[in-house]
Amino acid sequence: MVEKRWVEDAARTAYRLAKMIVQEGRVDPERHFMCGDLGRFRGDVGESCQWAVEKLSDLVRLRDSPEYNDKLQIRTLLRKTARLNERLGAIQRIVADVAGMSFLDIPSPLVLWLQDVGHKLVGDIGLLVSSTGETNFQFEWTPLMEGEPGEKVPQVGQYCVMRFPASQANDPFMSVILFHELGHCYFLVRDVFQAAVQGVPKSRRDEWQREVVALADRLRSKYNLPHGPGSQDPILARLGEIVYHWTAELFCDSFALRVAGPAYLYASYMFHAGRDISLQADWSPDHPPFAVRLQYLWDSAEKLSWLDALRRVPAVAQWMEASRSEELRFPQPVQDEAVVELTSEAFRYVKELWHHVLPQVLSLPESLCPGPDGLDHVSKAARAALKDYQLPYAHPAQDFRPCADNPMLIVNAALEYVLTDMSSAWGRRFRKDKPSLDDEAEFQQKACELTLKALEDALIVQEWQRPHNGSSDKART
Amino acid sequence: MAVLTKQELERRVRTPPGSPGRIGITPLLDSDQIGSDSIDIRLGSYFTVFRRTRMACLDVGEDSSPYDFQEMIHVPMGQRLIIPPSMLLLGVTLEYMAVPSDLCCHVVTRSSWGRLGVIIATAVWVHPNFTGCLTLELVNNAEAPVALYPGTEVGQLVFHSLDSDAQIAPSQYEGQTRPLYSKLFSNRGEIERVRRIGDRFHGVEQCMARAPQPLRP
Repeated sequence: MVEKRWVEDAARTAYRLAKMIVQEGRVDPERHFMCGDLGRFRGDVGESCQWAVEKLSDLVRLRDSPEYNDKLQIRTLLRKTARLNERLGAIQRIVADVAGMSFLDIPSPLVLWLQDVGHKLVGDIGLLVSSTGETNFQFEWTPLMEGEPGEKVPQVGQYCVMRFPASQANDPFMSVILFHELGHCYFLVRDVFQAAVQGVPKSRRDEWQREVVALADRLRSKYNLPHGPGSQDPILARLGEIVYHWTAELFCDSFALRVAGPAYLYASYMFHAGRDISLQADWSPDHPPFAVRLQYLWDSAEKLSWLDALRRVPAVAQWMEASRSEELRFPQPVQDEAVVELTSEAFRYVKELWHHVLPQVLSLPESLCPGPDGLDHVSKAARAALKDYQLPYAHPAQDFRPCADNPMLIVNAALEYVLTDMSSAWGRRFRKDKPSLDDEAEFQQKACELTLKALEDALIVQEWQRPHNGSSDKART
Repeated sequence: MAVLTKQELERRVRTPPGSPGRIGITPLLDSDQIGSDSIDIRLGSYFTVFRRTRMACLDVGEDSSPYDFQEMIHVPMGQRLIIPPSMLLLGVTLEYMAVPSDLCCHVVTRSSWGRLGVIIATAVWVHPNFTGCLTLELVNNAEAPVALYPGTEVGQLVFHSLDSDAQIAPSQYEGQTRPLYSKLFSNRGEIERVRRIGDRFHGVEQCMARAPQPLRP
């Protein structure tokens, strides 16, 4: 028999759908951001709503009419409704997050750019950005809703949510880390891992099979570890997990560097330094130590021709050189030699895969990535403007077009200025020989504000120049 | 002090960054914004509004903070902000300004808004060398609420030339891009000074009160 609570669940589903449609209007980017269809909820929500209501009616009918009391059919319907319920729960949570977002929380021009880049790289997937009370950046993926084979189930779209720490709000330089999270989306959608594995010659892959089995046996006997059948073997499973996640992280770092430019390197360094975690000790099966990530970033920067731009910023060059000279090691965050040995072995495979991962980053379309030439051009203008304590690259030219096409150019140029010219600029402006720490913090805050303003202005100018139907005549008063 | 006219305004606005005498103003969405004797300015998207609190009054001499009774809000372009009658709120210009050392300027309300009862600035003077977005003190003097739209033109800047270059220290509101809270709360030096003088006077009054009265003849 159909229980009352099941019908109530189904009713709640229909209610949630209706509420979602209402909330969808609140995050309509056309109203808020004047930005076409970026970030809009994709998929036919109305059709999904109709489908859920039909299922609800079916349930009620089955409960009330004895001739429809088919237990199998009821169970099937309930299963579908439960799946829909779960799916909508995730979407509703996302919608609630996004509805609470505002320009005061996040530099929205960067989010719009991120969504634009994402749309071109991963296709029709909703990319939502929201803040979190936690201290790390997060990525959440909502999978497709699945129906029975052959059944037409309306899809309410695919989404991924990227969350940034609320404590980093209003910092355009740290927001760049969101591009790392976008990399996770690309990694999943394009199945970068599988493509990299397929890039390895077949003979070598066969060798891997033999090697990992031998490794598992050795570790098992050495540390007296449990055994499992086939792919359920805990050692092999853990090994695969580490290789997959570490490859993903290194790919995402490289992806972010490609799409966001050197600013990602700075953001990444500051994020880890700000968390007061030793560069070497911060690692887990999910994340490689930051020292390793820094080395691979350096490698990517070399391949992406960013070295000259990085060398212009003495501080960044120093960090990189320092990290290069250190010997790689894996100190233990936990006293478990087996984990350390397993991780070290897994890292060998990550290194091998890297040669098949990096080309996938290099093959990203150039139009979406700020190249060194473009940055040089913008950087020169931005540094000149900031010397006057003015907005970077937002001064009116002859044609009144004060924006760069790619906002990441503004961020990179402003950051370069902050890291190289800030102290001298402060001295010039306030006639001080050496700024105090407070002065530097205040100036850096100011640089963030000016960069944000430049980003917002660039977006406004871009939209302003679009043709519109309204009259431009105005009476001078 | 002569008022700059269109030709001179355009010349100075189009001067490259870093050049002396340049008027920095960005974004300048329309070239029409430069008028015959002024530059039109637009309303930005950030506002500081006053909250109703249990504080008796805004006393900059007391140990309180503007955060206790003011908060910043954002109204995106395309949306509106309604000012009730007799309400003051702080807004900001969309344009970021850089006034050269040989000019100063003042802000005036566009008469079209003035006719609706809206005043956009009460502290209207902008000193030479100022850089930043201008804070606007928006007041609705009308009987009815008035809606404001960020991004629209609300005022004008009238530039005046100076006899010589001004040597002015950077303003405490230097480089602002949002309406900043009043700095009187964090800089109470003047009030402390006045109070010290007051204390001394008070002491003299007390001494005089305690002084022996002359004997009556």
